[in-house]
Amino acid sequence: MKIIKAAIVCFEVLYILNISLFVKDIMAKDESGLRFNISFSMESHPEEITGRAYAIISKTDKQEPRFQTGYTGVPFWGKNIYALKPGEEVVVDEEVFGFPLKSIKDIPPGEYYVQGFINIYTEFKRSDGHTLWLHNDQWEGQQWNRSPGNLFSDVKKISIDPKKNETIKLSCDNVIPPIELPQNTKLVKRIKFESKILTEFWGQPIYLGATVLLPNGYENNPDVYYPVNYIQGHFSLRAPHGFRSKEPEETNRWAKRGYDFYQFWTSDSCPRMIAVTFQHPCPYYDDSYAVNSPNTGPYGDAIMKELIPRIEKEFRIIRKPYARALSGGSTGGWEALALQIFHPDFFGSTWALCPDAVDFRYYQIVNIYKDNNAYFTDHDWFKVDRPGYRLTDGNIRFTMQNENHYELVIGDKSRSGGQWDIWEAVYSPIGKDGFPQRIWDKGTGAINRSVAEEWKKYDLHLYLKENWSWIGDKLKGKLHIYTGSMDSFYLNNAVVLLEGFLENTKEPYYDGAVEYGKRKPHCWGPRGALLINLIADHVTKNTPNGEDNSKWKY
Amino acid sequence: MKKVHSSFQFIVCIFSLILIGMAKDISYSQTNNPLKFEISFSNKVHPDEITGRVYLIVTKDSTREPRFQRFPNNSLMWGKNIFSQSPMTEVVFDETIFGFPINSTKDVPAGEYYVQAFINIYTEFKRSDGFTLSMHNDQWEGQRWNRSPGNLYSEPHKIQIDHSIPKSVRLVCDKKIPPVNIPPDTKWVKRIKFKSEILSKFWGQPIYLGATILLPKDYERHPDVYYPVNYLQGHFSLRAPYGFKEEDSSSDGNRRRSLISEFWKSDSCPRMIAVTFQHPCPYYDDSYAVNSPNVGPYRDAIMQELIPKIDEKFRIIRKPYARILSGGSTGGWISLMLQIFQPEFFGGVFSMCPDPVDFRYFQCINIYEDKNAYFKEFGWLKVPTASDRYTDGIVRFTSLQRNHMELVLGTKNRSGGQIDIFEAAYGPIGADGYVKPLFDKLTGIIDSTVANYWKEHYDLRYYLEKNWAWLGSKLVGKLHIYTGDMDTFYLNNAVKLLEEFLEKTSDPYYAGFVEYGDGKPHCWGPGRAELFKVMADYITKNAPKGEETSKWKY
Repeated sequence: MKIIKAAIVCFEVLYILNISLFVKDIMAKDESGLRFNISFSMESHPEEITGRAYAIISKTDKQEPRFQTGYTGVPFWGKNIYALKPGEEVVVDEEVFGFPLKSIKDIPPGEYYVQGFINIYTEFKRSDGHTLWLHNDQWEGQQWNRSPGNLFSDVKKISIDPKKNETIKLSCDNVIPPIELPQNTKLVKRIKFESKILTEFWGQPIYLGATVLLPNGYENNPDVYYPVNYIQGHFSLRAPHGFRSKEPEETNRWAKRGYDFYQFWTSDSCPRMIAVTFQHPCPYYDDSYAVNSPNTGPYGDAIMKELIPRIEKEFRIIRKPYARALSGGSTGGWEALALQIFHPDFFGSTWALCPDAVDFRYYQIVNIYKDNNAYFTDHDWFKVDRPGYRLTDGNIRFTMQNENHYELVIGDKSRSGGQWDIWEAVYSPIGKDGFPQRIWDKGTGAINRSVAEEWKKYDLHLYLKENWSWIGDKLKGKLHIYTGSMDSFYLNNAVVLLEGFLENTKEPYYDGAVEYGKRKPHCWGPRGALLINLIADHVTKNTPNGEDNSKWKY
Repeated sequence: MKKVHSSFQFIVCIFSLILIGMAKDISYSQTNNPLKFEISFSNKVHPDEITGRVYLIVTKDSTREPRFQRFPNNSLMWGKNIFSQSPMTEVVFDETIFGFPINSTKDVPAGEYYVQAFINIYTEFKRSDGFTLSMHNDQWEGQRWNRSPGNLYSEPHKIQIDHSIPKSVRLVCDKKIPPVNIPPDTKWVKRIKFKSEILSKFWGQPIYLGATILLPKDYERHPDVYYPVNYLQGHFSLRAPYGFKEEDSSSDGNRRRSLISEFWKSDSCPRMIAVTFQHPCPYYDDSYAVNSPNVGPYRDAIMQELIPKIDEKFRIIRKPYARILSGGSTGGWISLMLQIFQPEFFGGVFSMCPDPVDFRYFQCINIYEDKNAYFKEFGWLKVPTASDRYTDGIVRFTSLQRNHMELVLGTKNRSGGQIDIFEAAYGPIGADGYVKPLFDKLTGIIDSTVANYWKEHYDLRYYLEKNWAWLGSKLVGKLHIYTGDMDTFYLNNAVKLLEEFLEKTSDPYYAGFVEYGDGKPHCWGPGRAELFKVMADYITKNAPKGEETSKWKY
């Protein structure tokens, strides 16, 4: 014992004298091993870059390594870069955090395809006084590996042995080209404009967009105004409902579904309405979740005050609540529900499929108000991984920790453009550094209870419960929720809690629907023709006296 | 500056080398004097040598003896086999002994604990197949090591664990568990127990079979009436079938039990005889009623000895239509298996949440395709395979955890645990006479030759499919299965596969049913009274022409 104490004292003295730094120097020089040195050339990017560099390895070259990353994807490691100049190198060594291999020293010796990548950040001088560096969406929907302007190296085939003292140089000399915007067609129109509200908040031009699918005969009936289906969901430039007029050549299930929808939409039996998707990528994600938030900005305001008025001005939409129906699945399911609940008078109904957590007692399968850890259920003597994704048989595909560590490689400070990070950005208060306060430690999963308390504002079940006395009347008959009973992300659990509340509402009874698909995964619910018919019937049934609903039924 | 640095570096270098050297010395001396437990038994309680297994049990909870604590939630355990250990000699538990949930005693956090030693005594079985095995012989308690008569235990001791101080804890097992009290027969409840010739011959030791019989109201007053019988399958228990209690039990708080008891005594209860079987084997609290090279010819013994004995003693209608099987979980599987393997003897089965009826879902393991029973690999990712879940999908134990629990309790399938009996009942015999396991208990690696053996013997869905041509007509209308669709042990998945097969049958169609409880756990099915009425109706409906079904309905 005494010897230990003496040793500790000696070390403390050394530390105070700052001599320990030298020890570190020696250690560093003695270290041997693998490293990836990532750089970019003057030709590809003449200015210095603040952002994040990745080293990616894969066993196959069916796709470039950058396209093989994912929750169950290939190993990669990420490191922030600050004002890195062309030709300068950033070193990814064994200290750099990666997923699914924590350190490059864990790479099993063998042959690999290797790629370097640089995700470029933009400086945002926000109106709240914070200056943040984040990746600025290039109308691709916050996909770092496909975002225009980002840099990547050629793929090298290399034999790696992490025990060998080897430096792999990866120069990111290729620039991702800009996105090609699809052309307007007779039935599909696109809007994109700079949002004043959001640009002011972010200190950089921020764009909003909409993709509008017109009904058959829109041009031939210039006097007809139509109901509208505002579809919420992930960023996409494709036509609403997957509408696709070209018969798919390949046996692509989605393309087939889109072509089927096209045939329905242009048939005589399809109710005539306008279907619209929104594009509102933000610096944190491929969309903003359509609410006002201190971290993502006043997106709720921008959508309600800029985007929707613009759409309703350009197209002949019945500008009355009964004719505005929201729908969406997953992220879009939550948005469709949130927009209806936060703007109960403006919209006439919502059709939310497999919505993201509508009650944070089941934030997937974490109770943020009670649990201590998001990655494990912690018993006195042992831990069990919390699953993140399941198959309908209950088998786990990846865990909460897997997903979060994957995001942590893509970006720190909630900058991954990933699912958990955007929820954090939307629901969390702002941190001292201007970034979102963490709901849990991204490394360990330890939950921050005070942040959880702040999330209550966005806990839709809680909000409904607390406000039902005045909001209930406005929402009567408007809420329709669908989810698979084996939702892949366990989102059915929160829906069950919300249903428990809704079914017990009185004065008024909510008078909507919550339906479960037995043994169905994410994202079960009515789509395409089925959904359009449900909406048309609801609009017809809820048309106020004096309104003519025969005109759009030609 | 550089020169100054290097001279400093030299000094620091020497100094740190000394420190590292000292640190090594310290840690070496620590591992040399670890925490040790020395366990023995007193010749007063057991004068002879013991072959068996010693447990060390550690807990923080002083409210109950460590051996009765919930393992592994409230207690830590380590286990070690002993061979011909003499009284008063010590068995040493050091850091190398395997435990769960903490593998080594050196990793137990410092603090105050209650510890207890326990000795599970094995008996030598000289089996008729030529193998000699040492196993715990059931003492009519249902293979519960911690309550099995004759087993030895120590007083609990309060100790301080502090790994910096060498410590040896001596624990003497000087207490012996007394024999089981057999409840006396009553007007309603009768008990049979006898030595099985068939099984005693196989095991080379007396092996007993038993039955607990619940008689209908006024059985004595109707000496001419013969009754239908409900053979209930399930875990070993000496309690009356259905938990029937003679005295008014509404006060003991068990509402379910009191409900069934009142129902049984009421005028509206169909008059039947209900019987549970007791057939503990050396591997488990029951034998799964199989003929198996490892557990022995239990099905033969039940069919040729036990049932005839019951028929002889009680007025049972000895015809197939009047013999109905039921059971849940283990009993769900047994009842289904007995119906399928004795298709003409029994008239129908009502099976709830049966154990795996298709080994493509041996819980979450596909024994034919998975390489490992503890993990599934997706590219670079290794995801734990779950064993138990809650209805919201949170995992209670992983497959590795459940199996390592058993591995502490016994090696060579001698834990008396669930997975060990599955392997004993379904699997082949190993070279040493013990079970040839499906997978390595430590690593989870699956032996595909064993998997094939399972398939050919006890994959019920496969058996039905293979034999439907001759078997189907004998089973028409007889199979009824219930399970929660969030079964705790994921057993609904195998039921689903069985259902898919059954629904496709033709020549003949199976004409039974499979029902699922939405969001229900293990062991969902109809309530006891409800099931009882269903069975009585079923018997009445299926009584052959000329059979009098009114007599037993008084």
